[in-house]
Amino acid sequence: MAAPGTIRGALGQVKYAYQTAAFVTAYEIARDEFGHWVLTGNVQDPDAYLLGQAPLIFVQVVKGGAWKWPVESWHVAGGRCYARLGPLQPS
Amino acid sequence: MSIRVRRPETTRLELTHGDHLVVKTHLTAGEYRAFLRASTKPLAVTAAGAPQLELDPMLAGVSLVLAYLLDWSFCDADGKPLVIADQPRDVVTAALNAIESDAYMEVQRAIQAHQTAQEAAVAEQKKMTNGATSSVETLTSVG
Repeated sequence: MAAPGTIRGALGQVKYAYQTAAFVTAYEIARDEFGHWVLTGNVQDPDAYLLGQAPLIFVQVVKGGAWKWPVESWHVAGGRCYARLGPLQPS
Repeated sequence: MSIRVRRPETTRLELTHGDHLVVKTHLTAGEYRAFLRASTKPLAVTAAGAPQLELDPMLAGVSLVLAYLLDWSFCDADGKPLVIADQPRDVVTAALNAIESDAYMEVQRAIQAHQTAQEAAVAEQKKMTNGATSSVETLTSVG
């Protein structure tokens, strides 16, 4: 069972400005033991150049808009991403 | 060495009735290739012929719009924002199909004019850069 406040989604995007750096499928956003928001999920179609740029934003499209989190750090291993996110940005 | 990568920038294009579009200022090489790919339909290759592509004028217009368009101020029939920012391509395509044909043509014309203006600006910039290079070479040779 997911911890309270955990967000799960089927598909999100990591963006550099308006450009999509990667898609993240079957993802989860949860707090780690230090209280940081951490994104984990499967990476699809990563763009090596764009993923090396900053700032990156994680975007979840929702009805009528999108939720956006700044990506503070980003790591991929074995097709899985582990990213530390900043606070949810006001839309 | 020269810088050949631009930071992603947006441009606001004003429309009639106080509306506006937000578009990419420039396309990257990858975005340009995707636009070309979406604008063409492959033709059958004969035994002797080379592979060919045919530009489809119907696809070319909407592909250009999809390549550049990021956001707009349009509302739906209830006056609620017609959201396209950060939406998947099929959602943006559906929104473009849903708006009035006059509105669509205004969007397409605005983006075509933007593309033309950007190409002219890039050509002018290249001309100036090449001119500056020539001047330096001339001065060097004189000296």
